[in-house]
Amino acid sequence: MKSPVSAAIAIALGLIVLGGYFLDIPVLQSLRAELVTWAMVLAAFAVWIGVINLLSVHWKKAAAHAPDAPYSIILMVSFALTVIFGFLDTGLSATPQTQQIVNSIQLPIQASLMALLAFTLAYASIRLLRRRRDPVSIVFLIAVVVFLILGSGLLPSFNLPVLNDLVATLNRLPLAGSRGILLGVALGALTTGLRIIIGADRPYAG
Amino acid sequence: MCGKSNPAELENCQYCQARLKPLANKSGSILPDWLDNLRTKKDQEPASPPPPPEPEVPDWLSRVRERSQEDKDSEAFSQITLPDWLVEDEETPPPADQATPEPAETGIAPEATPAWLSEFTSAEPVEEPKPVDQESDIPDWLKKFSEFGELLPAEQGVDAPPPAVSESSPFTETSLPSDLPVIPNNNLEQPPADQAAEVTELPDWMLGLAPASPPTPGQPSEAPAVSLVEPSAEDEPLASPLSTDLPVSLENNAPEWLKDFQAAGAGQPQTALPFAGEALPPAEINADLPDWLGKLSAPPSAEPAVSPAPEEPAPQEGESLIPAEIPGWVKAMRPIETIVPVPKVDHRIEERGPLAGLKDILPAESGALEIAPPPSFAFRLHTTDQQRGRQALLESLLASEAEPKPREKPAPRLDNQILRWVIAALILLAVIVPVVANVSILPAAEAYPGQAAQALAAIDSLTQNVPVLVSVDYEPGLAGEMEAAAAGVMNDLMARGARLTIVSTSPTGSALAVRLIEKAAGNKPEPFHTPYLNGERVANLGYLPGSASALLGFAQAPQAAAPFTVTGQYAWSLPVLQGIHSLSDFGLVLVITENPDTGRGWVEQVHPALGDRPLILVSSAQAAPVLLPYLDSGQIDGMVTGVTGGAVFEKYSSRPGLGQAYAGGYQAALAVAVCVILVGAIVEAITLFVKSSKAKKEA
Repeated sequence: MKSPVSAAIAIALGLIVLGGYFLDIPVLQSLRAELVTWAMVLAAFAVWIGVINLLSVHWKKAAAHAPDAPYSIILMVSFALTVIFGFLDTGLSATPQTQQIVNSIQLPIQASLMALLAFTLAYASIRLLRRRRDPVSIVFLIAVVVFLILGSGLLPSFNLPVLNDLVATLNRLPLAGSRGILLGVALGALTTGLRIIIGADRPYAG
Repeated sequence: MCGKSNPAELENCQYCQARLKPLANKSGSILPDWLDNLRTKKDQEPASPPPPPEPEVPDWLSRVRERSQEDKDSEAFSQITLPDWLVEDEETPPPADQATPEPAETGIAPEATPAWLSEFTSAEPVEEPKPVDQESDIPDWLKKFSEFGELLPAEQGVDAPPPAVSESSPFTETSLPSDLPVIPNNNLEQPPADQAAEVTELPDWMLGLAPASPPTPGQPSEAPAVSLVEPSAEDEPLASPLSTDLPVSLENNAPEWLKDFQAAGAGQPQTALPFAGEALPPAEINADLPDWLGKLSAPPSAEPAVSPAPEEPAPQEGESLIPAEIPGWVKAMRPIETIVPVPKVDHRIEERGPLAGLKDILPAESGALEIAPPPSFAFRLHTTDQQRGRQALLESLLASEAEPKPREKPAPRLDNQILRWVIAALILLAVIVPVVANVSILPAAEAYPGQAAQALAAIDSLTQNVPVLVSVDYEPGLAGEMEAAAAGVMNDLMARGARLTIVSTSPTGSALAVRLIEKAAGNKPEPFHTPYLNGERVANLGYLPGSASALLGFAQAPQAAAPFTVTGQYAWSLPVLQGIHSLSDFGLVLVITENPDTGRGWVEQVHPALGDRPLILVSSAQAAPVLLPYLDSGQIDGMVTGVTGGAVFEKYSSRPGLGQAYAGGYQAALAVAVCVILVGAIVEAITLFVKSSKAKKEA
């Protein structure tokens, strides 16, 4: 699609959705609802495109007899089985196969990786001073220790007023930082939307 | 030759020194002057048969006639066979319409005879000239005219039958004027038979000047040694160039100027006698003189001839002949293939361009301009063994520089491996022991006090059988923490008989929701858990694609966004969703997520559609700091953070669950991690201090 046409469509649809949000016009609101539904449909197809691309990449690896071709074959077989079981779930009665795949394969594997991450971070924290001996590393370690203690609930459990106030004060620090992050994210999203509406930014290959 | 451009005024190429301008006479033609003049005369005349022109008697011919007149009685001249047109028949006067040139005194005094001519003054009679009926009798000098035959148009009869040879010999006595001196043929060497057989191809008009007897069909014509034109079987036997009778084919194909020449010379002496009057070197004369000229004998007495050639003294006996200066027209008759390349006649018909259909035109692109890959020359450098050895050494040195140096992997240190095992063991023990023993170091306390209480308060405000929208938006990897944090909340909702509607923006959310319900029910489910376990009071709407867009669409029109359940039933007709038309019809919205962006999306997209309905978040400890501002701003009515928050909620709801079961191990693992970090930092600090001290002492 040519650049002026795609830009015109993007601008028009953005204005319709924005107008439907602020203006109480039934036509605009109905159009807005319809366009949002279309976005959901497109997102669903995007998931399928990602899956197809993934399969094609691994298919090429397997066909080319790459060194890691067996892993690609395992992935494709696993995908096929999951799809088959998923289609079987669309009947009137749910089948336990999909649930078993999630409970017995996907969840344990991902949970194990997260646990390994926790152990690795702990070991890296111990060797931090051996790698980098600078004030920043010391400050980082101190912050880690403090918030680990706060997160564990050890200090509030003492239920001491001083400690409670200290804990509350320390808890406001990340709160302040996150608030600033959220404001920045919101302003960035607003600016990006306005740039697309006015046509200054064309991320849709225009 | 080289194809490069040169200025027009140059005669030789400035690059390759090739001749740019062919040898030509004054008029620019490569033909001899006498022949060119004939052609020019023909071109200038109209197409209609012109009247016979006045014969132009060249000087040499006039001198010859003068000598002949003087040596009229000479025996040598009587033996010369000249063509008819050259011989003045005393008995037959020339035609009246033709101007008869005044016969010149051609007598030559013996003492004034040029050397070249005196050679022929021999007493031996010259035999009757044999009719030149074959190509073998054609002298070489006449053969050299063959290139002129190519100048004739091709239409003039390559395939023409050999012309009929005139009966009369061109060199018969009667054809020559009587006053021409007779040159003896003693010193003339007849060309050997094989040389005589080497007939150079002559133009057709000269081939037509053949002797009397035509060649027999069966007689093979010997191929000439030097041939300027490819001989063909139809080559006519070489005839005397002075014959006035043109063969049939030549008459049909000869140019007009030649025909006129024939007509003009029929009744009068021809003007084109190549050799008369000019001195020739004796050697060339001996080899190339025609028969008729060889038979000429020296006139007995003749007046000094007026010759344009310088008079040369008669050679004394025993002395070598003085080479004569070759005139220009004789030089022009030399084989010019060595001087001027024979132009190749290209009879191709142009097929492209504006000249399409024309023939014999110059090609558009010169052959020199043909684009061709440059020739490759084999280049081999001669080197000695020593040089090759040095070359190999240099190459190896350069190759070694480009190759990456193999990195030596450091040997695994035993202390690091031991440290890893120790840390792993400590953490595992810290997690397993409290969970198995159901022991906690300290009572569970949430990181952000007051959050769980708010959430409990929001749930307590619900009535029985309230529709609750539950969003399960966490990844399977964090299911351990999220289930521990949300199990108490789910258990409390199930205890209140809430109608649960499950939705997720994650593909695995629907399956994790079933697991969460099972975990919330525990190992010993209560009776109120049964409807939830069998799905009676649960409507699982499945996956909503599109993240924020899906949330907005679901908030605007939930029935359109998620019409069916995971089992394929129309969800909005089920008893669970009875009376639900919008999100504001739900009594509570519970969002369970570990991703701060997902939580933010629910708050920003869905909360405006809830109205005054409470929104509760159950988040992981890592997302809590980002979602706390929403709680602080009042957009969230309650928040349960991590394992400790779930434990506190279960404590407040008096329904122990996973939270309280995992809280002890969670706290112990965190304590171990804190201890390990502190100990490691202290040990590293001490080690560094000791090393620095030693270094200072050593320094």
